[in-house]
Amino acid sequence: MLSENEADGYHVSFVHDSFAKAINREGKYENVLQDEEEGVHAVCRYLGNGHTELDYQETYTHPMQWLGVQEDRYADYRDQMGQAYGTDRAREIMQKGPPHTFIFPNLFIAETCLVMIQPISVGETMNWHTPLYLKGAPEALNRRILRQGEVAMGPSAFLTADDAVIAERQWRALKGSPAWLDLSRGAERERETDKGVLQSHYTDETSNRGFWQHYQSLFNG
Amino acid sequence: MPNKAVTEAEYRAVSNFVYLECQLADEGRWEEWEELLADDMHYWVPGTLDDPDPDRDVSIINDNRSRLATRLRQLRTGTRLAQAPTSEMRRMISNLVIWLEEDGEYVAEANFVIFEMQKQSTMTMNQWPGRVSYRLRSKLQGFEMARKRVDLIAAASGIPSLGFII
Repeated sequence: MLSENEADGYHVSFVHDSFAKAINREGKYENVLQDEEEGVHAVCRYLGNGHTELDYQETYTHPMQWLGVQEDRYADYRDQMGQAYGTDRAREIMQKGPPHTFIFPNLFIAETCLVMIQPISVGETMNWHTPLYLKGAPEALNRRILRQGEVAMGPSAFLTADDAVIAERQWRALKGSPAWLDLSRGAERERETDKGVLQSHYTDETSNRGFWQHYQSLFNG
Repeated sequence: MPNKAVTEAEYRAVSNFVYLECQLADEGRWEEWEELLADDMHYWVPGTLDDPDPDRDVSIINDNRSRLATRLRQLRTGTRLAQAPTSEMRRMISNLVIWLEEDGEYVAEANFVIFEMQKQSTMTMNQWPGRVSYRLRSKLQGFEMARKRVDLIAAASGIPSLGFII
Protein backbone atom coordinates (compact mmCIF):
# COMPACT_ATOMS: atom_id res chain seq x y z
CA MET A 1 0.00 0.00 0.00
CA LEU A 2 2.92 2.33 0.55
CA SER A 3 3.64 2.20 -3.18
CA GLU A 4 0.13 3.45 -3.85
CA ASN A 5 0.43 6.02 -1.11
CA GLU A 6 3.38 7.87 -2.61
CA ALA A 7 1.62 9.13 -5.73
CA ASP A 8 -1.99 9.22 -4.64
CA GLY A 9 -4.07 12.35 -4.09
CA TYR A 10 -7.36 10.75 -3.14
CA HIS A 11 -6.40 9.75 0.37
CA VAL A 12 -5.02 13.18 1.27
CA SER A 13 -8.20 14.92 2.39
CA PHE A 14 -9.20 12.00 4.59
CA VAL A 15 -5.94 10.61 5.94
CA HIS A 16 -4.32 14.03 6.39
CA ASP A 17 -7.40 15.83 7.64
CA SER A 18 -5.79 16.43 11.04
CA PHE A 19 -2.73 17.93 9.37
CA ALA A 20 -4.88 20.25 7.27
CA LYS A 21 -6.64 21.46 10.39
CA ALA A 22 -3.49 21.91 12.44
CA ILE A 23 -1.23 23.84 10.06
CA ASN A 24 -1.39 27.27 8.60
CA ARG A 25 -3.05 26.39 5.30
CA GLU A 26 -1.64 29.40 3.49
CA GLY A 27 1.54 27.76 2.44
CA LYS A 28 2.89 24.77 0.65
CA TYR A 29 -0.23 22.61 0.84
CA GLU A 30 -2.86 25.30 0.49
CA ASN A 31 -4.37 24.19 -2.80
CA VAL A 32 -4.60 20.46 -2.22
CA LEU A 33 -6.00 20.61 1.30
CA GLN A 34 -9.25 22.28 0.34
CA ASP A 35 -12.62 20.56 0.32
CA GLU A 36 -13.76 21.18 -3.24
CA GLU A 37 -12.43 18.88 -5.95
CA GLU A 38 -12.74 21.51 -8.66
CA GLY A 39 -10.43 23.84 -6.78
CA VAL A 40 -7.55 21.35 -6.61
CA HIS A 41 -5.15 21.95 -9.48
CA ALA A 42 -2.52 19.33 -8.82
CA VAL A 43 -2.40 16.28 -11.07
CA CYS A 44 -1.35 12.65 -10.96
CA ARG A 45 0.46 10.84 -13.72
CA TYR A 46 1.34 7.35 -14.82
CA LEU A 47 4.75 7.49 -16.48
CA GLY A 48 4.94 3.91 -17.73
CA ASN A 49 6.90 0.93 -16.40
CA GLY A 50 5.22 1.21 -13.04
CA HIS A 51 6.47 4.73 -12.30
CA THR A 52 3.98 7.28 -10.98
CA GLU A 53 3.96 10.86 -9.82
CA LEU A 54 2.04 13.79 -8.45
CA ASP A 55 2.68 17.26 -9.79
CA TYR A 56 1.95 20.33 -7.67
CA GLN A 57 3.28 22.85 -10.17
CA GLU A 58 -0.12 24.34 -10.98
CA THR A 59 -0.81 24.93 -7.29
CA TYR A 60 2.22 27.11 -6.69
CA THR A 61 1.65 30.83 -7.07
CA HIS A 62 5.18 32.00 -6.32
CA PRO A 63 8.71 30.61 -6.40
CA MET A 64 9.89 28.53 -3.43
CA GLN A 65 6.39 27.72 -2.28
CA TRP A 66 7.40 24.06 -2.50
CA LEU A 67 9.74 24.72 0.41
CA GLY A 68 7.04 26.56 2.33
CA VAL A 69 8.80 29.95 2.17
CA GLN A 70 8.42 33.28 0.43
CA GLU A 71 10.37 33.70 -2.78
CA ASP A 72 13.04 36.02 -1.43
CA ARG A 73 13.71 34.03 1.75
CA TYR A 74 17.01 32.76 0.36
CA ALA A 75 18.16 35.76 -1.65
CA ASP A 76 21.64 34.38 -2.29
CA TYR A 77 20.14 31.16 -3.65
CA ARG A 78 17.87 33.16 -5.93
CA ASP A 79 20.88 35.17 -7.14
CA GLN A 80 22.97 32.02 -7.70
CA MET A 81 20.14 30.46 -9.69
CA GLY A 82 19.77 33.65 -11.75
CA GLN A 83 23.45 33.55 -12.62
CA ALA A 84 23.28 29.89 -13.55
CA TYR A 85 20.05 29.87 -15.59
CA GLY A 86 19.11 33.45 -16.35
CA THR A 87 16.47 35.26 -14.31
CA ASP A 88 13.35 33.97 -16.09
CA ARG A 89 14.37 30.33 -16.32
CA ALA A 90 15.59 30.40 -12.74
CA ARG A 91 12.24 31.74 -11.57
CA GLU A 92 10.46 29.01 -13.52
CA ILE A 93 12.58 26.29 -11.92
CA MET A 94 12.15 27.72 -8.43
CA GLN A 95 8.39 27.88 -8.82
CA LYS A 96 7.97 24.46 -10.42
CA GLY A 97 9.44 22.67 -7.44
CA PRO A 98 11.08 19.26 -7.12
CA PRO A 99 9.64 15.90 -8.24
CA HIS A 100 7.08 13.96 -6.24
CA THR A 101 7.77 10.77 -8.13
CA PHE A 102 7.55 7.08 -7.32
CA ILE A 103 10.07 4.92 -9.12
CA PHE A 104 8.96 1.31 -9.49
CA PRO A 105 9.22 -0.84 -7.50
CA ASN A 106 10.19 0.82 -4.24
CA LEU A 107 11.91 4.20 -4.57
CA PHE A 108 10.24 7.52 -3.98
CA ILE A 109 11.54 11.04 -4.60
CA ALA A 110 9.45 12.78 -2.00
CA GLU A 111 10.36 16.27 -3.21
CA THR A 112 13.04 17.07 -0.64
CA CYS A 113 13.52 13.53 0.68
CA LEU A 114 14.51 10.22 -0.83
CA VAL A 115 12.44 7.30 0.41
CA MET A 116 12.94 3.58 0.06
CA ILE A 117 10.28 0.99 0.82
CA GLN A 118 11.85 -2.21 2.10
CA PRO A 119 9.57 -5.23 2.55
CA ILE A 120 10.92 -7.31 5.43
CA SER A 121 8.39 -10.14 5.57
CA VAL A 122 4.71 -10.74 5.02
CA GLY A 123 3.01 -8.03 7.04
CA GLU A 124 6.16 -6.03 7.82
CA THR A 125 7.75 -3.23 5.83
CA MET A 126 10.47 -0.75 6.66
CA ASN A 127 10.24 2.77 5.28
CA TRP A 128 13.62 4.51 5.02
CA HIS A 129 14.11 8.17 4.26
CA THR A 130 16.82 10.76 3.98
CA PRO A 131 16.69 14.46 3.12
CA LEU A 132 18.10 15.44 -0.27
CA TYR A 133 20.29 18.51 -0.07
CA LEU A 134 20.88 20.78 -3.07
CA LYS A 135 24.53 20.77 -4.06
CA GLY A 136 26.02 24.22 -3.84
CA ALA A 137 22.93 25.76 -2.30
CA PRO A 138 23.23 27.90 0.83
CA GLU A 139 23.35 26.03 4.12
CA ALA A 140 20.24 27.81 5.37
CA LEU A 141 18.22 26.40 2.48
CA ASN A 142 19.47 22.86 3.03
CA ARG A 143 18.78 23.26 6.74
CA ARG A 144 15.22 24.12 5.77
CA ILE A 145 15.09 20.91 3.74
CA LEU A 146 16.10 19.01 6.86
CA ARG A 147 13.28 20.76 8.76
CA GLN A 148 10.77 19.93 6.01
CA GLY A 149 11.76 16.27 6.21
CA GLU A 150 10.93 16.23 9.91
CA VAL A 151 7.41 17.40 9.14
CA ALA A 152 6.68 14.96 6.34
CA MET A 153 8.68 11.80 6.96
CA GLY A 154 9.31 9.34 9.73
CA PRO A 155 7.35 7.51 12.43
CA SER A 156 6.25 10.71 14.19
CA ALA A 157 5.71 12.87 11.13
CA PHE A 158 2.62 14.94 10.69
CA LEU A 159 1.95 13.01 7.49
CA THR A 160 3.47 9.54 7.28
CA ALA A 161 2.51 8.34 10.77
CA ASP A 162 -1.11 8.43 9.65
CA ASP A 163 -0.38 6.77 6.29
CA ALA A 164 1.36 3.93 8.12
CA VAL A 165 -1.55 3.33 10.47
CA ILE A 166 -3.97 3.20 7.54
CA ALA A 167 -1.70 0.71 5.75
CA GLU A 168 -1.70 -1.43 8.87
CA ARG A 169 -5.48 -1.27 9.17
CA GLN A 170 -5.86 -2.35 5.56
CA TRP A 171 -3.54 -5.26 6.14
CA ARG A 172 -5.60 -6.25 9.15
CA ALA A 173 -8.83 -5.97 7.17
CA LEU A 174 -7.57 -8.04 4.25
CA LYS A 175 -5.48 -10.58 6.12
CA GLY A 176 -5.93 -14.10 4.81
CA SER A 177 -8.68 -13.34 2.33
CA PRO A 178 -8.55 -11.98 -1.20
CA ALA A 179 -10.54 -8.88 -1.99
CA TRP A 180 -11.33 -6.59 -4.87
CA LEU A 181 -9.68 -3.21 -5.15
CA ASP A 182 -11.65 -0.59 -7.05
CA LEU A 183 -9.18 1.58 -8.96
CA SER A 184 -11.63 3.13 -11.38
CA ARG A 185 -11.69 6.68 -10.11
CA GLY A 186 -11.14 9.12 -12.93
CA ALA A 187 -10.76 6.51 -15.67
CA GLU A 188 -13.15 8.46 -17.88
CA ARG A 189 -11.20 11.71 -17.64
CA GLU A 190 -7.56 10.68 -17.78
CA ARG A 191 -5.71 11.99 -20.81
CA GLU A 192 -2.43 11.37 -22.55
CA THR A 193 -0.17 14.42 -22.38
CA ASP A 194 2.00 15.69 -25.22
CA LYS A 195 4.86 13.87 -23.52
CA GLY A 196 3.03 10.57 -23.93
CA VAL A 197 2.18 9.91 -20.31
CA LEU A 198 -1.24 9.50 -18.71
CA GLN A 199 -2.46 12.37 -16.57
CA SER A 200 -5.58 13.05 -14.56
CA HIS A 201 -6.93 14.98 -11.61
CA TYR A 202 -4.92 14.80 -8.37
CA THR A 203 -7.57 12.60 -6.75
CA ASP A 204 -7.91 10.14 -9.62
CA GLU A 205 -6.40 6.66 -9.66
CA THR A 206 -4.46 6.91 -12.91
CA SER A 207 -1.25 6.39 -10.95
CA ASN A 208 -2.52 3.35 -9.06
CA ARG A 209 -3.97 1.71 -12.17
CA GLY A 210 -0.63 2.09 -13.89
CA PHE A 211 1.33 0.72 -10.95
CA TRP A 212 -0.84 -2.38 -10.58
CA GLN A 213 -1.04 -3.06 -14.33
CA HIS A 214 2.71 -3.06 -14.50
CA TYR A 215 3.01 -5.17 -11.35
CA GLN A 216 0.60 -7.70 -12.82
CA SER A 217 2.47 -7.78 -16.13
CA LEU A 218 5.62 -8.87 -14.35
CA PHE A 219 3.85 -11.88 -12.87
CA ASN A 220 2.16 -12.79 -16.14
CA GLY A 221 5.46 -12.79 -18.03
CA MET B 1 28.26 14.89 34.63
CA PRO B 2 26.45 16.42 37.60
CA ASN B 3 27.30 20.06 37.91
CA LYS B 4 25.95 21.11 41.25
CA ALA B 5 24.13 19.00 43.77
CA VAL B 6 20.53 19.78 44.65
CA THR B 7 18.87 19.79 48.04
CA GLU B 8 16.39 17.14 49.09
CA ALA B 9 13.57 19.64 48.64
CA GLU B 10 14.74 20.51 45.13
CA TYR B 11 15.02 16.83 44.24
CA ARG B 12 11.45 16.22 45.43
CA ALA B 13 10.09 19.21 43.54
CA VAL B 14 11.84 18.39 40.27
CA SER B 15 11.00 14.70 40.42
CA ASN B 16 7.34 15.50 41.15
CA PHE B 17 7.32 17.66 38.04
CA VAL B 18 8.84 14.87 35.99
CA TYR B 19 6.32 12.32 37.25
CA LEU B 20 3.45 14.70 36.54
CA GLU B 21 4.75 15.32 33.02
CA CYS B 22 4.89 11.56 32.47
CA GLN B 23 1.35 11.08 33.68
CA LEU B 24 -0.05 13.86 31.51
CA ALA B 25 1.74 12.43 28.48
CA ASP B 26 0.57 8.88 29.25
CA GLU B 27 -3.03 10.02 29.61
CA GLY B 28 -3.12 12.24 26.55
CA ARG B 29 -3.90 15.31 28.65
CA TRP B 30 -2.38 17.61 26.06
CA GLU B 31 -3.84 20.89 27.30
CA GLU B 32 -2.31 20.40 30.73
CA TRP B 33 0.94 19.08 29.22
CA GLU B 34 1.22 22.16 27.03
CA GLU B 35 0.96 24.37 30.10
CA LEU B 36 4.26 22.92 31.31
CA LEU B 37 6.15 24.22 28.30
CA ALA B 38 8.53 27.17 28.20
CA ASP B 39 8.29 29.51 25.20
CA ASP B 40 11.64 28.23 23.95
CA MET B 41 10.78 24.58 24.48
CA HIS B 42 12.80 22.14 22.38
CA TYR B 43 11.32 18.65 22.06
CA TRP B 44 13.83 16.34 20.46
CA VAL B 45 13.91 12.64 19.66
CA PRO B 46 17.14 11.96 17.76
CA GLY B 47 17.16 9.49 14.88
CA THR B 48 20.62 8.22 15.66
CA LEU B 49 22.48 7.03 18.75
CA ASP B 50 25.83 8.19 17.47
CA ASP B 51 26.41 11.70 18.90
CA PRO B 52 23.26 13.17 17.31
CA ASP B 53 23.13 16.77 16.08
CA PRO B 54 19.66 18.07 15.21
CA ASP B 55 21.08 20.31 12.48
CA ARG B 56 23.06 17.57 10.81
CA ASP B 57 21.20 14.31 11.43
CA VAL B 58 17.69 13.13 10.71
CA SER B 59 15.52 13.32 13.81
CA ILE B 60 12.38 11.39 14.64
CA ILE B 61 11.03 14.51 16.32
CA ASN B 62 12.70 17.92 16.35
CA ASP B 63 10.10 20.44 17.47
CA ASN B 64 10.60 24.01 18.50
CA ARG B 65 7.76 25.54 20.50
CA SER B 66 5.85 26.52 17.38
CA ARG B 67 6.00 23.14 15.74
CA LEU B 68 5.13 21.46 19.02
CA ALA B 69 2.03 23.65 19.20
CA THR B 70 1.09 22.40 15.73
CA ARG B 71 1.69 18.81 16.82
CA LEU B 72 -0.63 19.25 19.79
CA ARG B 73 -3.23 20.98 17.61
CA GLN B 74 -3.08 17.99 15.30
CA LEU B 75 -3.62 15.58 18.18
CA ARG B 76 -6.56 17.61 19.45
CA THR B 77 -8.44 17.35 16.13
CA GLY B 78 -9.30 13.76 17.00
CA THR B 79 -8.59 12.72 13.40
CA ARG B 80 -4.85 12.17 13.85
CA LEU B 81 -5.17 8.55 12.77
CA ALA B 82 -1.90 7.52 14.39
CA GLN B 83 -3.56 8.34 17.73
CA ALA B 84 -7.23 7.77 16.99
CA PRO B 85 -8.14 6.24 19.32
CA THR B 86 -5.31 7.17 21.66
CA SER B 87 -2.91 4.46 22.74
CA GLU B 88 -3.23 3.14 26.24
CA MET B 89 0.16 3.56 27.85
CA ARG B 90 2.20 3.90 31.00
CA ARG B 91 5.83 4.86 31.31
CA MET B 92 8.20 3.88 34.08
CA ILE B 93 10.98 6.24 35.10
CA SER B 94 14.01 5.08 37.01
CA ASN B 95 17.60 6.01 37.77
CA LEU B 96 16.49 9.62 38.06
CA VAL B 97 19.40 12.00 38.59
CA ILE B 98 18.93 15.72 39.05
CA TRP B 99 21.46 18.50 39.15
CA LEU B 100 21.71 22.24 38.85
CA GLU B 101 23.48 23.80 35.89
CA GLU B 102 25.61 26.92 36.16
CA ASP B 103 22.87 28.97 34.51
CA GLY B 104 20.44 28.04 37.28
CA GLU B 105 18.44 25.55 35.25
CA TYR B 106 17.80 22.03 36.47
CA VAL B 107 18.65 18.98 34.45
CA ALA B 108 16.80 15.77 35.19
CA GLU B 109 17.85 12.56 33.46
CA ALA B 110 16.36 9.12 33.75
CA ASN B 111 15.99 5.76 32.12
CA PHE B 112 12.49 4.91 31.02
CA VAL B 113 10.34 2.39 29.29
CA ILE B 114 6.86 2.98 27.94
CA PHE B 115 4.41 0.14 27.51
CA GLU B 116 1.99 1.14 24.77
CA MET B 117 -1.16 -0.73 23.81
CA GLN B 118 -1.39 0.32 20.17
CA LYS B 119 -5.12 0.54 19.48
CA GLN B 120 -5.13 2.20 16.09
CA SER B 121 -4.13 -0.70 13.84
CA THR B 122 -1.83 -3.48 15.03
CA MET B 123 -3.48 -4.04 18.43
CA THR B 124 -0.14 -5.02 19.89
CA MET B 125 1.74 -4.04 23.00
CA ASN B 126 4.79 -1.98 22.05
CA GLN B 127 7.68 -1.20 24.35
CA TRP B 128 9.75 1.93 24.09
CA PRO B 129 12.91 1.89 26.22
CA GLY B 130 15.33 4.78 26.33
CA ARG B 131 16.80 7.65 28.27
CA VAL B 132 15.15 11.03 28.80
CA SER B 133 16.74 14.34 29.64
CA TYR B 134 14.80 17.39 30.81
CA ARG B 135 15.89 20.96 31.25
CA LEU B 136 13.66 22.78 33.70
CA ARG B 137 13.52 26.42 34.64
CA SER B 138 12.14 27.69 37.94
CA LYS B 139 9.03 29.82 37.75
CA LEU B 140 7.22 31.71 40.47
CA GLN B 141 5.41 28.47 41.17
CA GLY B 142 6.97 25.29 39.98
CA PHE B 143 8.91 24.82 36.78
CA GLU B 144 8.65 25.20 33.05
CA MET B 145 10.10 22.68 30.64
CA ALA B 146 12.67 24.18 28.26
CA ARG B 147 13.88 20.94 26.77
CA LYS B 148 12.87 17.32 26.58
CA ARG B 149 15.26 15.04 24.77
CA VAL B 150 14.39 11.36 24.34
CA ASP B 151 17.06 8.90 23.25
CA LEU B 152 15.30 5.71 22.23
CA ILE B 153 17.29 2.50 22.19
CA ALA B 154 15.63 1.66 18.87
CA ALA B 155 16.04 5.14 17.37
CA ALA B 156 18.14 3.94 14.44
CA SER B 157 16.67 0.46 14.12
CA GLY B 158 13.24 1.21 12.72
CA ILE B 159 10.28 1.82 15.00
CA PRO B 160 6.50 1.72 14.58
CA SER B 161 4.38 4.83 14.22
CA LEU B 162 5.05 7.12 17.17
CA GLY B 163 2.10 9.46 17.25
CA PHE B 164 1.93 10.06 21.01
CA ILE B 165 3.93 12.39 23.24
CA ILE B 166 6.93 10.29 24.17
